[in-house]
Amino acid sequence: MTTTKSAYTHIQTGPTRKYTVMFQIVAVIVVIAAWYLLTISNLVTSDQVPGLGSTFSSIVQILSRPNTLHDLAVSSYELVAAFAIATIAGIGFGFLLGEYGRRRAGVRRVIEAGLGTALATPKFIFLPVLVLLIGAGYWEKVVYGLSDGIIIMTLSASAAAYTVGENERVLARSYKMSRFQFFWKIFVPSALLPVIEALRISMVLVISGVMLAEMYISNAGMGFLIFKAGTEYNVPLLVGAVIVVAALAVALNSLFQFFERSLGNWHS
Amino acid sequence: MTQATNSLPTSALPQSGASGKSGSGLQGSDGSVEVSGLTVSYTDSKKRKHTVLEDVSFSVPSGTFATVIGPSGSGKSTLLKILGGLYGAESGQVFIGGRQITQPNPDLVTIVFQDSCLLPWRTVLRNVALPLETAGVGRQEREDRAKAVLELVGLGDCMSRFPRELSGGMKQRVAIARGLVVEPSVLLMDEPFAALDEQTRYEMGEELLRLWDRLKSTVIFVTHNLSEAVFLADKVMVLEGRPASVGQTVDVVFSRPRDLGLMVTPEFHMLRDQLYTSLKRDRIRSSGTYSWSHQGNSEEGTQ
Ligand SMILES: Nc1ncnc2c1ncn2[C@@H]1O[C@H](COP(=O)(O)OP(=O)(O)OP(=O)(O)O)[C@@H](O)[C@H]1O
Ligand SMILES: [Mg+2]
Repeated sequence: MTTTKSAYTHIQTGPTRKYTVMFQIVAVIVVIAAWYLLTISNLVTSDQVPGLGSTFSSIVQILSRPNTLHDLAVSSYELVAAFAIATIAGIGFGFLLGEYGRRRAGVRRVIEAGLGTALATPKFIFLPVLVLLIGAGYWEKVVYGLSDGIIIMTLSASAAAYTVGENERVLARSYKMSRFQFFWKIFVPSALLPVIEALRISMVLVISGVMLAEMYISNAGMGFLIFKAGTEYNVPLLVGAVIVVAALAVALNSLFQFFERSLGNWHS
Repeated sequence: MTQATNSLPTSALPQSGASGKSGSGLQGSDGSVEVSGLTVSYTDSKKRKHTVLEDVSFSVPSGTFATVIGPSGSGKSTLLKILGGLYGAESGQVFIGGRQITQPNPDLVTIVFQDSCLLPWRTVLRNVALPLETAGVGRQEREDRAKAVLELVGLGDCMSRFPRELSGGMKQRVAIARGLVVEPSVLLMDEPFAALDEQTRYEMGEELLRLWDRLKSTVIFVTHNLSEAVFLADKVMVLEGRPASVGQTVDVVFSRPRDLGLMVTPEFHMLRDQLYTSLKRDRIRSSGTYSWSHQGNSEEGTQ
């Protein structure tokens, strides 16, 4: 069992995994210790680096006061919507693109190149234009937040569809599977691992997208809270909000890694 | 590895009541295969046409075990794909059980591929149940039927394993079980044991015969291996020439049930050598264009 080589060798199991977890715990402790030492030293003022205590109480406040909880809720709704749309639509588009591209490799390459360019372009600079064009409400923030995620998901699902083996296709054909059955019984399971990997990257992009949109075109949400705390020089609130968002991202990342690991165990 | 895979129980079939079989496929259904004037071409990437099979005609009566041999590249797999409805012929017709084959007919004809082609994310049981699942059979019935077939191929206690936990021989048995689960009238097998070691290969052949003896479906079995072809068959068909057609058909009349002891009898050798000579003649005639890639196999029976 332990000698089984997964196709996805980066998925850590056994001792490597244990060391990684240990490393992560040690890193957190080191950062907190360094932070503490910095605050008790005379190198920085409490305006520059807030104390551990005041930061902790600002985190508690963010998680307990109605108005900040509202910000958290607004961001969560936007994130969930943006992430869900990016995932479902991206996998759907990617599947169609990959399948269609088997016949029309040229079309597929052109579309993928276009998506690659769109991904490489910093959409941030278009944000003011976007606001003028489509406004600055809930859905605008969602659209902005999902734009990169959907591209990543499309590209990765397309690659996955493209690599479903000839064997599986012949098998599907010999059992007269419908397109729908092929999608659910062959494509989804065989694409699951690469797609979950892409989900992690997509999630990071969606979080950044939503935060950015909130900072610039919103009056609610964690991005707005961070922005406001910054302009008001409320450093404990600023750092606290950043930590809450970062913790959310890390937690989601770990969740996906957990899925990848448990899938990697049966998906050889 | 071979040890673990070798024993197919000779015990009785699972009771048909418990298995929930409809019995439609195997009993009484017509598995005769009629092929006439089949010509098949491929178009390569430069749009050039290559004719692989030309004017192939043969008939296989229902319930016959037929083997097809021929050099590598002669079009054996192509022939099976046509019979399975996976690929269209340029001209000619295929009738199975009186029905013309123009597309896959998973309830009539199934294919067991050389590479077992199991889905790694499904357990053995769910791999075997897949054809029933796509056909819309309900969960309970398909599980019962898949279990019954797995018992039949001797994998009754491996149902919840994943393919990667099986040996090559066991994987091939799962593939055979998956081919049989729909109770097809005709089972097409494309070098199913080619990837196995020699010992396992012949033992699997013996087991396949026992299985076939109970099921009595028509089997068309493609192989490179002359000994295997003769040992299994009622009828051996040789694909020869380029483009290939059925050059020689040999009826194998050895009594059944057969066991591996048959392979050391002089009659067996004579028949196999006769086929070998005919294939060699063909190879020399079309010098260089064919490669008899498993040449070593022709010597196997004589050890
Ligand atoms: N999809 C395809 N497109 C183009 N040519 C093909 C295709 N499949 C097979 N061929 C060609 O058809 C010929 C016969 O191939 P086929 O796979 O049927 O041979 P085979 O007898 O099964 O060989 P082997 O014993 O090596 O499996 C070969 O020359 C091969 O190159
Ligand atoms: Mg072949």
